[in-house]
Parts: sequence; structure tokens; C-alpha cells
Amino acid sequence: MKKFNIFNIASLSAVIVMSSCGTDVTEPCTVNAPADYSFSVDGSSTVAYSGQTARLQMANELGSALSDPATTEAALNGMFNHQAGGMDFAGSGLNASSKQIRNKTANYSTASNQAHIHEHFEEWFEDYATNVAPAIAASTPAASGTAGMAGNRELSAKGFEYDQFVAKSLIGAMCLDQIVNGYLSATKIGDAVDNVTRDPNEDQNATAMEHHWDEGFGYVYGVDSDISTPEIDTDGLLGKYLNKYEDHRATVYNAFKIGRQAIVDNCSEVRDEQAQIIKETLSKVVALRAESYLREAAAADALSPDYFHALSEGYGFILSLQFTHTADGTPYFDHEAVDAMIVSLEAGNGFWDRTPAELITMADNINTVTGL
Amino acid sequence: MKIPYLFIFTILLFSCNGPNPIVDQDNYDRTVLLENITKNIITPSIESFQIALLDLNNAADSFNSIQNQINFSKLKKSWEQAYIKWQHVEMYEIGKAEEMDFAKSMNTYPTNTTIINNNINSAQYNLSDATWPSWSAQGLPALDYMLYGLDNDSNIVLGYYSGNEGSKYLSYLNALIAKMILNTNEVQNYWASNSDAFINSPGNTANSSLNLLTNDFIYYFEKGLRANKIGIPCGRWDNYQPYEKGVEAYYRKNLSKRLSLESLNACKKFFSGVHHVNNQSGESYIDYLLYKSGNNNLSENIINQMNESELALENLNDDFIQQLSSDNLPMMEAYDELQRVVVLLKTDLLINLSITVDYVDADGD
Repeated sequence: MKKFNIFNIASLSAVIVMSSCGTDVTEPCTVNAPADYSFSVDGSSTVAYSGQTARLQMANELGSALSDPATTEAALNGMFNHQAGGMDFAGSGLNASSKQIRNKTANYSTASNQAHIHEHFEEWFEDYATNVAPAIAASTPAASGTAGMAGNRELSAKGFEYDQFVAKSLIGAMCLDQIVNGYLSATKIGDAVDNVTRDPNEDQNATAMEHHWDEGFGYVYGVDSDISTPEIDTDGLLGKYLNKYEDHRATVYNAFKIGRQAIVDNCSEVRDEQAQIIKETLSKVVALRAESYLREAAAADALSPDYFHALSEGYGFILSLQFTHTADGTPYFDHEAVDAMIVSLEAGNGFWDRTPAELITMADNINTVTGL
Repeated sequence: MKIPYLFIFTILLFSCNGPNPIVDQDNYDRTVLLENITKNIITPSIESFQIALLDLNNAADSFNSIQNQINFSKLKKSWEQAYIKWQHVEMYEIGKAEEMDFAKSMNTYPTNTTIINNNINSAQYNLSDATWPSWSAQGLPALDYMLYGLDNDSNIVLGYYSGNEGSKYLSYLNALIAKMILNTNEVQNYWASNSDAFINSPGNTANSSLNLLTNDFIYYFEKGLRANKIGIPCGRWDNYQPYEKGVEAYYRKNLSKRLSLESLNACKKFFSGVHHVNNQSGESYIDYLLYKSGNNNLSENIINQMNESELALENLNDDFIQQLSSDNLPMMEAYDELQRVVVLLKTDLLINLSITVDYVDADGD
């Protein structure tokens, strides 16, 4: 499979070169990006990503509901599987929205893998509503095999903090997957995609290709209060963690700007090069977090609230690793490899049974693969 | 890991400044490819279907005269043959077919039994309405219901036609067949009078013949085959909840796999330029890709992946309804194999041929 992808990409790219150049070899196209991420036609901005903003807001509410003792399983599934008009959210406009988290979760995975990932989410919702929420309401102290509170952390019987599981898993399964396997893939921005037709009533007058790029942008910056700078303030998902790395943050923002301008200028080479930079850089952020939370958990006081919290964050980032995209287009770890890590984290009584040595070994394994 | 770096290098050396790389024209003679597809694949496919419909009509005539089990089985058999032939026709939603929503009127499923029953009883309906309520009460799926779905017991189904209300049922049955024949004749006439103009369209613009044809082919593979036959039944967009009613030929039961395989076979023959009637090979996408890239790598990938899809379909129960209720996973795996073909067609094939996608995914962005 890996080899197949490599050859696939290589042959594809070679053909782009041939078909776009013919015999007329001239200078590579150069792109002058604007100072910030603003693109207009006839004085009006063509940048739009309200669907991405809505999903980030939905995910945020879902996370909050997973630390609320009054939550029900139906409410959690309603938020995950929202249908337009369903009274699932508090945020303005979200109930009327046709957007949904679930159908954009692992959407580019194979059907069998996607179904498997969805099952995880459903199991978390069920366990939280059935076992964790009542234990919190009753102020039960958490213990191995017993759901309850550890400090201010709300743990399942296996020591899982589900709001962390969900938020950190969506960073990969929704945000990163939608960007690297969706909007910034050849299907959405390749040369076969319409980059000519504009309609003021459709996608804010952007071409299909421009709009796809903006939608990818939206999964990082969709709730940022000021997109004129690389800093990201209010996000709780991928943007929040990208923001922690100043160099990667600048790299990604610039690549989004240059790539979008390249689409405006019909410069495929630069567009594809910037898309690749974005995919790889965002993937690095996810991999770095997976590794660092494992190390943080290993270094924390044994079975302390901080330990459970760090490991819960790490779990979600590990699940997210299967959506990463490296130089050759493959993820750092595929679905099966990620599953193996998850199974070993969940073994026995879950986080209550993990040892620092196990966590460090896992972190080292991740580091060996990523080389970061 | 080495190959991608190598290719980045290649781009740096050879990349160039082209305002819109997609509108490039080459010296390949598209009319040769178009001629093979039009004359040896599209036209004979439609004509075979037309003949199958005439057989169906003859069987219906006999059934109108005498409603017995023998005539009823002949009618059902000829419907089945027509449904199989249809799999070679649905993808050509071009010209007249597009204008009259041929595919929607012939094969919208699940069929709407409430509307059908109303139509039978009221005898008030308009099969020419270009609306979903109308499309979902006619065509091959409506006949599926009329022949197999009125009751589980085929003797009781037959009783509907031979009983007191029989004329109402016969009348609707005849109306459905007449409409299918009328539609198909119009499409056949279109190709008879427009083939030459269609072939003589060497350009590469959104309305050039090969651009339309290629887009229709990919659209069909994505929606008609992958989504309708497998994706929707296995609940790909509905939490993987099996949707049995979404299976093609739902009432006939064990025909669904046969139809899916036939559809895939039609796609394979189209791509490879294989004649509809005698299986000879003619000019095809494989030749055009060879011209464009100097090798057969992409064609081989596409054919191999279509073969993988075929294996995955073969692996399913003859009756998808059985498959869905026993184990949905093999359906999902078949979907995945078909999806891999879609990616190859929608990105690699289109980019290689410098053809722009002319339809938008309704993926709820």
C-alpha cells in the first residue's frame, strides 16, 4: 500500500510537469502572496468557511457536554450526529445548521475503518453518560475499576477523561483528515477541479478550487478571532495546538496564503508544494503532541489527576496519528498500528495499569517513526 | 522516501509558467476514441436495451391476454434481462438522455410503493412529470415492485392481475413499459442522428464530447455504481446502518449482485474500449493515456483496481439484502474498493487527460 502511494504520487506529478509544459520550458511560476489571508474579486472577499466554523463550534460544545454530569447519551449522540433543526446545541445558528461532526469524522478512511472509529466515539458517549456522569453527580472518588473524580478530573473506570478523548481525536479524525485527505487533496484542488467559474450566489464568488482551499483553511482558523495574523486565539482543536509552535504556526499560515494566491494565479506547482507543506507541518504538530503527552504522563506523579489528564490527551493524539500525511503521502502510523497502541493503552484496567516505562517505550516508538 | 524528493526536483527543473494548465490541447485525435465508443459501445448498448424492452413488451402482451404462471414467469424473466442490459446504458446521460432525465425515470430506487399504489387505484398519473414523485413510481424499480413486491407469494401477486381489479394493475404495468420504450426510443433516435456530430468534436472544452463523456462516466461510477448500489445500502452516509430498501431490485431479491457486477463490467468495457457486442477491443482511454504519458501505468492501476472491486463484489451474497442482514462489513469493503477506483478516475485520469470535473460533490461542506 505504501509503495503504491509513492508511485502513484510520483507518476502523477511527472505527468503534471509534462502536460503543463509541453516543449515550452520557461521560468517556474512565482507567486506573490498578500500580507494576510485576504482574497477578493471586484472588491469583495471570496473567502468563506462557515461550515468549518460551525463544526469547530459544535465540537467545542460536545467537549463541554462531556464534563457535564447532566449530560445524556442521547444528547451526546445528538451533538455528534446533528441533523438540521435538531435542538442539540446552545450556540447561535448551530441547531439550524445542516453541518455535522460525525459525517466529517474519519470521512476519508475506508468504510470499515471509519465505522470502527465511529464505534469508539459511541462507546465513549455511552460510558460517559451511563457511568461517569452519575459518579460525578454523586462525587464518587475515582479508583481503579470505578468511575469518579480524581481532583477536578472526571474519569471512567479505566481512568479515561472523555472530553479529552473526543477533542483530541477530532483534531486528527476531523480537522486534519478533512484538510490533508480532503480539501488539500488532488480531488479538491487538483488541476481537474474548476478554477474558472465564479457565481456571486455560490461560495461567495470563489471558484470551486479556491473555495476548497478556504475550507481547508477553515478547519484550522475557523473560530480564530483575527485571521490577519498567524496567531490563533480561541480555538480548542487543531489550531490551538498549532499555535503552540511558533515556527510551525508561521509556516502553515504562510503556506495557506501562498497556496491560495497560487490558485488565483493558476500556478499549480506552487499550490501543490504549499499544500504539501501544510499537510506535513500540521501532521508534525499532531505527532509531537502524541509523543509529548505520553512523556508528560510518564513524568507525572503516579495515578495523579495530571497523569490521567495528560494520558487522556495523548490517547486522542495517538488516535489522530492515522490521519497524518508525511512526505510520501502515507501517515506516520496507519489504522492498524494506531489500533495496536490504543489496545495496549486500554489493556487491563486501562490507565490505572499503565507504567511510566510502557509510556516511554510508546513515546520512543513514535519518535523513531517521526524523527521529530 | 527517495522518490518524492526526486520528483520535487523534477518540478523545479521543468516546471513552467502556464496561466491555466487545464486548457491544454494536444495532437491526439480524440475523434478516433469517440468513434469507437459511440459506434461500438454506446449505440449498441442502447440498441440491446431497446430490444430487451421489446421482448418485455411482447411478454406483457401475452400476459395481458392470459394471466397464468407461464406468462407471468416469462414477463418476469424479460424484465430481469432488461434490467441487466440497462446497466450498460445508465452512464450515458448525454444529449437527449440528459435533457429528459433518462436515468432518473428508468432507475430511481427505492421505488415509492405508496405512489405506485395510488397510481394504480386512481388511474390518474403523469409519468412525464420530471419530478422525484413521478420518477420514483416508474421505470425498472417500479416494475420490480409490480412483479415481485405486491406480495411475497407469487401466486398472490398473479392474483392481483387476474382478479376483479386486474385491469387496473395491467393498465399500470402496460403504462410503465410503454413509457420506458418511449424514453428509450427517444434516446436511441438522438444517437442515430447525432452520433457524427458527437464524434466530430475534437476539442478540449467543457462542452467537448470527450469532456462530457468522461465526466458522465466518472459520475456514474461514483454515484450510480459506488453510491447507489453499495454505499447507500451499507449506510455509508447513515452511520453504517444497513438500508435494505436501498438495494437495487429489492423485491426481486437475489438480482442485486448480478446488476452490480454487470454495471462494473460496463464501466470496464467503456474504459478499455471493448465493443458491446463482440468483445473486440478498439481505441480507448488506454490509448489516450499512453499517448499522454508514454506508459500504461495509470491504465493498469485503474483496471487492477476495477478487478479488485470485482473480487469484492463477487465476495458478496447474491442477494445484498441477505448480505446486509448477516454481515455489513463485506459491503463496506466492496465500497472501499470502488472508492479507490473513483479516486483514480477523478484525480489521476482527469489530470492526465487535462479534463475538468463538471459536477460538484454534494458532500455538505
